[in-house]
Amino acid sequence: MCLDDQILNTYIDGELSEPWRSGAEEHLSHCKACADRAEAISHLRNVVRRAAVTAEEISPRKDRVLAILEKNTLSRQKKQTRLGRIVNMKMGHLVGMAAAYTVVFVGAWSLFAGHGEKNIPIAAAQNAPIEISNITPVRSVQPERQKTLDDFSLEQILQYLDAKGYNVDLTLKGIQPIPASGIEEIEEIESDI
Amino acid sequence: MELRSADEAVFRRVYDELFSVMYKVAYHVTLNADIAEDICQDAFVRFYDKDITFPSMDEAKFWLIRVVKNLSINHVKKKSREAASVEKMKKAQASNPFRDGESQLLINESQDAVRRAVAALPEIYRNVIVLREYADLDYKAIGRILDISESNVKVRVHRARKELEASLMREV
Repeated sequence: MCLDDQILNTYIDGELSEPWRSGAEEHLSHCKACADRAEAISHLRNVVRRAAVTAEEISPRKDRVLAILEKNTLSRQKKQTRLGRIVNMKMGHLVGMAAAYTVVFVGAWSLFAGHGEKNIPIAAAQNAPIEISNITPVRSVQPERQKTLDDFSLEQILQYLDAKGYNVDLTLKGIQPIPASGIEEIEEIESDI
Repeated sequence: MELRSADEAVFRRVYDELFSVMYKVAYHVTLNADIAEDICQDAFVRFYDKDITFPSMDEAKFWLIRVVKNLSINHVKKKSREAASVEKMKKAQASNPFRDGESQLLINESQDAVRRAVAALPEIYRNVIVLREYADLDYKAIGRILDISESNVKVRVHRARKELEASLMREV
């Protein structure tokens, strides 16, 4: 079976891998029609390659372009280097930094906003004008509790009444006051001890 | 060894090594020496300004050739040269019909005629022929630059040569 043009092109370009390459070589060695066709394709390839732009044509343009690049691009880049790479930030870096700042700012705001005096929801502030009726107090303020007699000691009560001009006489149930003579006897006993 | 495109020493080495192949690609696509020169300059400015680090010279070569190829194609499209060239090629084919069974073909075209025939190929065939014959790239590299498979490159090379043959040959 003869070789088709695609296989011959691949073979001529040196891109036909084994074992097809050996098979093609073996076939071309005894098939004149395929050998002629391979010769024609190879000839065409050489004709096209010979039409390549020559080194003599390229050389002056190569020098000219390099001179332009040295004058414009390379020198411009040096000036930028002197100004500093901080100014020459890439867009990706700027976006990254902006995102980082946003995260830090929002994080700090959400962290500390809860400890402030005002706790107005953000959505209310953004979506509708602020009205007193819309404000929901998060932390209710406890009214000052009315003080009762339980909040004062007996001594404070007596002092208060005394200051108001009352003469208060307190007695305890089941305990008789000690007579004056009895007090003297007790004092003598304590001094002996 | 890594190559940083904004490094002036690296830039000069890449320029010296790759300018010729880039110019050949640009020239054989646009068929205009001045435009090819401008495209090469533009590609090297981009190469320097982008400040890309390439893992090897081959990677830098593929990148630059891809840029040159795209700029060249864009230029050709802009000038609407392709449509006019296809019409011209069709007329040339009609005047030089290929006779089936011809075993030996003589292609005796001038250099300019061959260049015109290559530039007149449809874009997908012109790209593979220019990269194969003038940039001297293998099928794998061509596939990478054009973002197509190697088998697709084989098919396109075969069809491109078939079209070139039809446009260049004449009866003996």
